[in-house]
Amino acid sequence: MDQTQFVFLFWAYFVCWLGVLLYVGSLVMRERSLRQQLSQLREQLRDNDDL
Amino acid sequence: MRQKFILLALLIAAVMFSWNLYRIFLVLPDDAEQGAIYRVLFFHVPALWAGMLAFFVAFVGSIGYLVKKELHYDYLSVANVEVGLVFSIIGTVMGMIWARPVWGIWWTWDARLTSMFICILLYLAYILLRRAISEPRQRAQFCAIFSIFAFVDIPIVWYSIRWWRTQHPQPIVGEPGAIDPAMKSVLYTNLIPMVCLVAALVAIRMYQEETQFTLDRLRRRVNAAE
Repeated sequence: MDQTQFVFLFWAYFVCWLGVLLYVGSLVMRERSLRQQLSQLREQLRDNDDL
Repeated sequence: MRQKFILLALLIAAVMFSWNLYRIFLVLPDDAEQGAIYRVLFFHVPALWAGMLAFFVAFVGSIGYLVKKELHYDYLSVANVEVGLVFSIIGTVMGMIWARPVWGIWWTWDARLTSMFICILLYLAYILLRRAISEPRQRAQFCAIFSIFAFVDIPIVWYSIRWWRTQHPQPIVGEPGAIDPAMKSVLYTNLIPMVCLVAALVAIRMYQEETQFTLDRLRRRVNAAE
């Protein structure tokens, strides 16, 4: 395998999986933030109902 | 049900990607003209096809919203646009990396590349439009109309290499002898795990949109109570 072609091939596959990983990472962070906001709001609602 | 679907889709994707990577790197020989770099094709093409498929589903979801006015269609649309955009950008960047050693340039403004660039800009605009409107039904309506408008570019991207003489290679789908049968088999079978991956990500993203809607509703209740 030609060295230059191998370098380009490596970066192409790296970009492919890096892109997917970054997007999955953004989904995980968004999920965490949503859950946090949801539990905070539920607590607030419970407090309001208690009052 | 949704979790089972996501797990199944990811499992199929993992098994098939592993099998295909084995075939791509250890079974298939180098291309006579391009050498080893042609192997980019096995992920570049399926990523772009899967992206276009996601845009098509977003287009159908947008029509569904305009007809039925149910927010589930809007969730389907936004999830597909976002995931489709990610795969389109990945496919395009992979194509650029392939082009450098083969063409000697990273980019050229030919019909295929330019129409793809416009496609990415259009769907980026869709994402920005969503962030600009806070009222859910108004946002869904505007975004559905914009998504239908943006989808007009997809057939132009698809047929650009048939309609115009481009630097981009000529079509290999449905063209007898355009590609070796063993290579064609890997190319087509790599589309299945790519679509499974897209479907799993879309399902996760749709769930997040539904959660966001619940969150907004609860927030309104809290504000009303205060």
